[in-house]
Amino acid sequence: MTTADALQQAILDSANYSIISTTATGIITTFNATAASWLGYSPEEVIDQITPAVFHDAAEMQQRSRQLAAELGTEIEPGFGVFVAKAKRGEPDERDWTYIRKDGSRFPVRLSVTAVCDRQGQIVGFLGIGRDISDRIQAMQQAQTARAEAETMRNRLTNSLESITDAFFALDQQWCFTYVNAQAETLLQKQRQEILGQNIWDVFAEAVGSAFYQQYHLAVERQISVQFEAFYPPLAAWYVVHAYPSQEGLSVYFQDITARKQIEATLQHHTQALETFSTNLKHLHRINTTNYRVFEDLLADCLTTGCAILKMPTGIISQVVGQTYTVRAVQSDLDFLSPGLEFVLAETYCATVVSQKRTITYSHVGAEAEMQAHPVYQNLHLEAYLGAPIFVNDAVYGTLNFSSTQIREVAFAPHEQEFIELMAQSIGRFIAADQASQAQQRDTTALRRQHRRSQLFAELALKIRQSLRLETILQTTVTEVQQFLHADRVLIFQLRLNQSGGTVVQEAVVSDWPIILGQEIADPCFATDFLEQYRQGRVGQMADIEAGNIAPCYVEMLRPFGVRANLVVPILQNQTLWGLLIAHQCSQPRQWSEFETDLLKQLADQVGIALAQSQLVEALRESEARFRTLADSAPVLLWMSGTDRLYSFFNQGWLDFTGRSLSQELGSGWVAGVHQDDLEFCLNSYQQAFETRQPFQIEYRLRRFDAQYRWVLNTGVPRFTPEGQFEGYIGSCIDISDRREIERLKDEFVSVVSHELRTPLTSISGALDLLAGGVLSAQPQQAQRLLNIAAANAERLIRLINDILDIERIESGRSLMQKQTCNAAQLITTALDLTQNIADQAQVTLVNIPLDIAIEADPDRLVQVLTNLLSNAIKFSPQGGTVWIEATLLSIPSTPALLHPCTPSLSYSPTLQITVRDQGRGIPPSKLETIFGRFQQVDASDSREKGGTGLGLAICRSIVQHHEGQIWAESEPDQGSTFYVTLPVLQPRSQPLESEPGGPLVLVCDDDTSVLAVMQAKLQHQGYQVQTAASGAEAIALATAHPPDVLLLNLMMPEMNGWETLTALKENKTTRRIPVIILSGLHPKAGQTLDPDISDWIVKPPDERRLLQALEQALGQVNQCGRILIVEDDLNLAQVLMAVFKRWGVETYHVQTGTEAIQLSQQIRPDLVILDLVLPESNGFAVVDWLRQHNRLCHVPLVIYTSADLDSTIRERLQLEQTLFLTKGRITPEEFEQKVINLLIRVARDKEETSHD
Amino acid sequence: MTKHILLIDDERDIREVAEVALSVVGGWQVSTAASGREGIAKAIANPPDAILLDVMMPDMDGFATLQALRSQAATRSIPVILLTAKVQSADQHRFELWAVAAVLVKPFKAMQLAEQIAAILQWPTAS
Repeated sequence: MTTADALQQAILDSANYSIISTTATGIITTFNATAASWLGYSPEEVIDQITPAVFHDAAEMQQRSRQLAAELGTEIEPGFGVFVAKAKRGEPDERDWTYIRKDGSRFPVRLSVTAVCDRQGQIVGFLGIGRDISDRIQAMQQAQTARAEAETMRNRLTNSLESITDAFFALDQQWCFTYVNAQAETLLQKQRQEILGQNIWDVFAEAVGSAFYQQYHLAVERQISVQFEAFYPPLAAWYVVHAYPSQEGLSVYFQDITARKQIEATLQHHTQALETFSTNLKHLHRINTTNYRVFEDLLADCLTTGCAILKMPTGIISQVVGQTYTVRAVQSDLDFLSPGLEFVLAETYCATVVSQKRTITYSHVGAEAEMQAHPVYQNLHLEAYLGAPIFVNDAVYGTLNFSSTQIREVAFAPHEQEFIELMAQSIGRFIAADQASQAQQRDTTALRRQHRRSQLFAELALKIRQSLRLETILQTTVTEVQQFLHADRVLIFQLRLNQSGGTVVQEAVVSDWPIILGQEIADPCFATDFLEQYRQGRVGQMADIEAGNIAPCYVEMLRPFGVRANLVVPILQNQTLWGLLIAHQCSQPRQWSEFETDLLKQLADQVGIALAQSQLVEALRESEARFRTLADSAPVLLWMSGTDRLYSFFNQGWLDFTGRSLSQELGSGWVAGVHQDDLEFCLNSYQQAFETRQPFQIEYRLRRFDAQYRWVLNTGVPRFTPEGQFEGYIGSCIDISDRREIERLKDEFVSVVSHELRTPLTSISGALDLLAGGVLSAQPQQAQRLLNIAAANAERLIRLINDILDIERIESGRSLMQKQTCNAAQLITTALDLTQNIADQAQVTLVNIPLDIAIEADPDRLVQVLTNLLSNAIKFSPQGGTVWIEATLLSIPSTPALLHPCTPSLSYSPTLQITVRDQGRGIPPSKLETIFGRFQQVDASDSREKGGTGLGLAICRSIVQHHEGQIWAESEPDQGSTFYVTLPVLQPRSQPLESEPGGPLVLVCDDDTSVLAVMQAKLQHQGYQVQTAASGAEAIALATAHPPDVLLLNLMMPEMNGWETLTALKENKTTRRIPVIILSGLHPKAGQTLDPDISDWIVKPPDERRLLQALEQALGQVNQCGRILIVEDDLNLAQVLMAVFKRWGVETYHVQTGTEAIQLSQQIRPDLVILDLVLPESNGFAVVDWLRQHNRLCHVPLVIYTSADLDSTIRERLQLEQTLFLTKGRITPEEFEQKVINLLIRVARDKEETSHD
Repeated sequence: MTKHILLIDDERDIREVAEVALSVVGGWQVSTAASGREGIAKAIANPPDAILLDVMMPDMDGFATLQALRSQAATRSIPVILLTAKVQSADQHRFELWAVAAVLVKPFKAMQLAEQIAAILQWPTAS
């Protein structure tokens, strides 16, 4: 080292600075002793080290780096560069750094860095000289601390003044500011410096005289603290001030309460709004709770309230439908606004309300440019408007709006809007409720109407359907409908079958209008499709026929009836248009309500049903009547029972038979008539049949009216409805007693006959068998005896067989009586001769009391009768007894009492009576009649003992009856018996019927002579004269010689048959007109009308009644006897009767009432009157009374033909000279016909005789 | 031992013929009665081995007679053969009821009558 260097080192080391030099890049080159002592590093330790890395703080270097960057504008790495940056630029750089000692402790240095340049001015290194500044910093820090403490003290005071929230200032006694805190600065908007030392009244000149001025002065003068609030306009602020006087002057604390005041004001404002709102709500509540008389009152109240609250003159509740705005309710000073007024929605302020569904307000429409063109503004200059939507059921119903032509200075308050919205809500709810109530009311009304209709319909239907009679139904319908509708006329119009027109069949019309009942109306309009429409159930109605829209033909038709309005409903019967039910209003036009139309339609339906039903009822009634007539006229006993097994019907025949009344027989009453022994069987059978529903037949005994039990055959068949439902039984009983009796008799007869025949046969065959067997060859006597037995029995057998055949022949009519005039005495003598022998054998005396009288008789047969009676008498007479035979003439007319009860009628003709009396054992009374039966001997053994066949008396009776006589026996036991025979006496002149010269001549032509004989007898008996011809040729000859009144002609004849004979007769002028009746075994060809030349055709064997009828008709007797007047109100019956009598060629007249009968009988003088008793107008009795008074008609034959059974008193009342009482239903039509015709013929004959006389 | 038979019939001729047939052909002892009453009396008095009874008789007919015979101890067990000309179904029923030995029909074969009866009653034939 050089001295310089040493010096340098010494200098360096002696300096109280740290000196550190580096290379240009920062490598330490010099590190002086001070540096080493301060930093604790030896120079060796740090030379050649990079300085910053050794004892500089990295954070400090970074901070310096940022500073330099900001200062120099270039980035310098936080390293060595930051120490030399300035030095490099030739600028001095001295600043405080922190050195870090080797031990890590730190101390501040003031470091000055200088660049070391070479001669060329190139920086070759840097020199840093540092001074330890720890002491200075410490002192500075102490001073700072003391200052800080003073500061702290001051700050504490200031802070206490500053930190108080109140503003504060202090004034001295000259009103100058001595202190102003920060808060006060802010509030007073003045800087402290500006006002400190300044007079307050200078600074705030505006405050002079203000509350502040007065209060401050008050506080100072009175030395009292004051407190007040005041507004300071220049600052637009409110303050609350507390001022305290002091020695120095006045301390003032204050706060800005503007915000509070504002809140208070707002609060007050709100409170007011709330109060208003509350008041308004009360109105709303009132509205909501008031019970308005009508809904419109509610709306009016809303509007009134709203207008008052909003202070707007116009209030409207509108209804908006589509684009139409309709004023529903209004309160306004604008006269033209009224409910119902309509606007186009778009042209109202409410359009926005509706479209946006919210409240809209305008307080000054004129101020809004876009609104000035609005039609409302243009037309009405409405400046202010508040509108709220009314929601009904969530949809906009309309609006509630208020408006005024006055500009509204203050905007609508929220509470006003709110109130209106609430009101709109209320209205909405009210409208909804109103709508619901209206709907309900509508429903209720509809329901009530429906109910009323049902009720009316039920009433009317009941009235209409009360009757089953169609006429009554229709009558009731028109009457009731007319009353119900208050129509001027109600009618039922029945269409003709071809529906070209019809008739008014019922009508109810008020007296002022023409009656059209019964009118035939042929409506030209019917030709059109009118009817088709009615057929389909259409209702026709016209409110006013003069209205002009009606077819002219229709108007023409209706006008004459005075019709102004009409209602026409179709009456359909089983889908067929039957007619129309029509209501007319004549006085004025009339709108028919749906209710009326419906009701009428329903009633027409009822009428239709009634029609169908009445048809059924009619058919039923007819069928019922037919059934009853049939049942009652049936000759059988009919009954009917229901499902309950009880009998519900008996015909007249049944009641007549049992002699009991219907009420006695009904149910199970009939059982009383069943014979005790048959009852169980009868009921069981019936029960069994009922269970199986099978037809049944039961035979049992049923008590007849005369208490006699008769066997009946009860045949029952189950009844079923057409639907197959079991309904009970119907049955008939026939009296089979006679049949049973006949069967019994037949059985018995066969039994008896077989017995009777076998008995002799047994003897014969037994005897002959033994004889033939040769067992008796050794005993000739016994053999002879057997031969005798055989012979006798053979004879008996022959006799028996003869008798049986004889009686059969007589009774069947095959054995004809060969009648001739005989002397009764002679016949008796013959009989006596024949029986004398056996009388002698029996030692019986025969006494004859004869009478010489002529009779018409078959002598052989009569002798047979007498012989039989005599031999019987002899057989039963005791030995030595007497038998008397006596003939007497009964000249006095016989009475039934005198005659045998069997005598059929009064006999006025002289009669021969023959009696045979014996002294035998007599006949028990019970046998008196039966002995005349076959094999009915009193004692069965008689036939053997007395040698009779048991048929003798039966044969006698047959013979006598064939002589128109009677035979009977009288006896008292052990007193003998008397047999009587009566016979008509032959008196040619005194027998009117058989010998009448005027009787019509009948020619009978038949090849069978037996037929001729029978016919002759029959016809003569009926008073005809008879000629017979056995061939056609003979008939023609006889007819030509003596033309008969009528010819009975057989057809099947040999040689000339009937047809040939007829032709021949018809060709002959003389015989052409003779009526011919065919009497043949053949039947006329079915379906063929009789040959016009033939008057009638009778089939053999002829029915006598039929034959006589044919003869009478052929003879034309009837048509001479004129007129029958039939008085009968039953048209059907009358027609039948007229047809019947017309067949007889009788003129018939018919009237339906008694009055007509009286009138007509005066005109026509009837020959016979048939009179029903029950008649409209004068009844049958009146007619009879009248006839009786009449001098000629009192003789008229009368037939009372009525359905009632008449007792004798009534019959007496009705009796004219010749009166026949015939009961309808009791007599068959044929019987009726015959009886009336007979009466007519009798009358005709009488008339003829009278005229002959 | 000769069989004894009682014949009851109201018809005299038949009685005669039958008696011959039974006595001569059958070789039996024959009693006859003309009525039921008489027959009963005879049957009690002298009980026969068998009774031939006519049905159709006056007063007391065959059935009444039979009933009477059955009611008497003496005659109760005597076999009865009915003889009838009346054969009808109704009667047939009654015959069965009475349990008679047999019913013979009139007219009968006189030569075979005894043989028939013997067969019915299982009597040895006479011949």
